[in-house]
Amino acid sequence: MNDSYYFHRWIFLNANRDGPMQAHHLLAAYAAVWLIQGGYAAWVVYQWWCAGKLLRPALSLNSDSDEDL
Amino acid sequence: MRRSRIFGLVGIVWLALTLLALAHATRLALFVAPTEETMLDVQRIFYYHVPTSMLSLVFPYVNLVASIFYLAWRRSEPLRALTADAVAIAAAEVTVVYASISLVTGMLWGKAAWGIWWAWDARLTSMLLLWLLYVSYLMLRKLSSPGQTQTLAAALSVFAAIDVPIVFLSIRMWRGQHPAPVFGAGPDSGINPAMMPAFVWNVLGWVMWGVFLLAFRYALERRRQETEQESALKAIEDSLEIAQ
Repeated sequence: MNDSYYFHRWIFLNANRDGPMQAHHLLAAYAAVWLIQGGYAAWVVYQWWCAGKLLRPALSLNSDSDEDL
Repeated sequence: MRRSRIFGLVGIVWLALTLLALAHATRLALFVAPTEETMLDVQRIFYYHVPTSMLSLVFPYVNLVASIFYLAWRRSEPLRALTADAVAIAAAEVTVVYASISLVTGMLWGKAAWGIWWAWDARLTSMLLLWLLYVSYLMLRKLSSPGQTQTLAAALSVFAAIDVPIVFLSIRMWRGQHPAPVFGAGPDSGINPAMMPAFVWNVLGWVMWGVFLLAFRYALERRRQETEQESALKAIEDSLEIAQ
């Protein structure tokens, strides 16, 4: 069996209550939360950056559209 | 100082406070809260699973209210309707994020506690349906031809929100694999008072993070709308120049 088999089994497959997998399920759950939230936040940041690149020339043509307080 | 710069500063401060709150909440959940007797350490998934599941039932209502405003304003006040539409799409995406987390953490907890990844009981099935409804909402917005997209999406949002009370009531009305409500289900419900600080801090942290995501995604949508308006105006100007 290769390393990836053991890694997959380590993370997901062993639900033995007395074994160390209790902590591994916990680790996988917490990692999944940060992965999903972080992935989505990174996607929004990337889209923000892309949208900013498209917006910049348009704003420079209409400088009076900036709102001053 | 320009308004956008003030919003940017407020956003950075809010994000910093949110990350501090989440770091503190995670420390409490993993290292300070007492270990539960039956499930041992795996019960600590509770501190992420419950707050994110609660919030996945709140953001659909933000989407619903914004969609209703969009439908009400789309003819009389189109610019305000665009603002409501930006809130609606932001809330739908944040709903999908939180519902995904609820499902994934629930499955990992279920495998450890019950020995199975999934059961077709009322809570799990209605939550999966909620996730599918908001994924459909986003796919509709992405894939349908322009023109009626926002109106169709707003109408779908009204129907999708019907699933939210079903998810909430599912563990109160039907018994299944999912445990009964932890809070507000009679004298035996609730958690050990020593677990409360970790729970409350996680609720606070994930609420703050959700508000941050919602505001940031809203700002992105407004920026996209601005770009589209600029492009449309430029196209009109170009066509007028060609006509002359």
